[in-house]
Amino acid sequence: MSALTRVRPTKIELIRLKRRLTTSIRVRKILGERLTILVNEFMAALLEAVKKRKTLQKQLLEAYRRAEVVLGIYGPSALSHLETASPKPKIYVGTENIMGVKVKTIILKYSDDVKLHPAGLNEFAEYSRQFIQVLLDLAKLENELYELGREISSTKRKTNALEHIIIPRLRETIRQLQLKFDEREREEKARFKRIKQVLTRKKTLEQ
Amino acid sequence: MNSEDFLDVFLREELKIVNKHLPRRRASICELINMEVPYIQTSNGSIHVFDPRELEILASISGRNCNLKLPIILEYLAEGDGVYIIRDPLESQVVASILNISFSTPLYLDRTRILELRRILRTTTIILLNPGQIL
Repeated sequence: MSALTRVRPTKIELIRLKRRLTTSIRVRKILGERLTILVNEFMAALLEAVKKRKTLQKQLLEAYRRAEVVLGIYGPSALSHLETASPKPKIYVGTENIMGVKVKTIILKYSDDVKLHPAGLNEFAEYSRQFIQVLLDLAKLENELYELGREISSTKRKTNALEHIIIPRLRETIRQLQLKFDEREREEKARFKRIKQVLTRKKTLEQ
Repeated sequence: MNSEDFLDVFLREELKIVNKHLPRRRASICELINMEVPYIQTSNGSIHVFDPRELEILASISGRNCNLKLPIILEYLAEGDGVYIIRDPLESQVVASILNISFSTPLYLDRTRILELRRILRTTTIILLNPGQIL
């Protein structure tokens, strides 16, 4: 692994590099944990989405069956009557923030005033509400899967860069600097020994 | 900017980004239940909407205790083995009863518990990634 370029071989630089290495290791750990959480959120959302889709398909078939019954009893005007007579829900679109990932969410608020429909239509209206709620939940989950997937891939790239490039390079640079300092120390020791030898030789010659 | 400065900036920014979803101000459960759309603002200015169904679960467990602030903060400590901690006693009590575990203050949780909790309270809990003391 190549070391970082243009590093001055000074003690200050060594301390700075060691600090940077500690920070990098911490950031890697944090990003690793974030990645694990995001992957788990993704898996949970995936399982939930599969479950919701199955529920939705069942409910859709049931909704058709109920619609047929309603149409059979009241005729084609029943559905348009339901549409005009039922109170319109308020729709709020917002965002949920899951580990920094923005996911769109929709909240439906139905007013409390109950409109009375002919027998059977109330149940059908209630069932339709439940069906729409499941549909919205599924849409939210699928959007969440997209967004989480995108965030997971970007976090993975960062974690890999830290783990395989930045941290090994910092370690290598620190090792090289340490080798350089050790070499310098050895040279210094050898030089002192040589000076000492020269001085003692001079002393003995003078005596 | 040379590569070393860039690296420092990258590391610093990364630590900021991982916690950008934290709330600017936490709201009490009573406040949130009375809101038409329960939401809070996050530190990066975006809006975080709570799921009303989760609020109902929490209200029933806490008995609509207005001291319960949301979202519940699950703090991840990077130092050591990497555990999650809930510091507030009321929040610890609520979480302990949801997870059906013994209650203590602060409440220490491992990752499996966190995942279990996040499955129940997706929007009303938030994870704070605490990097510890950066040199």
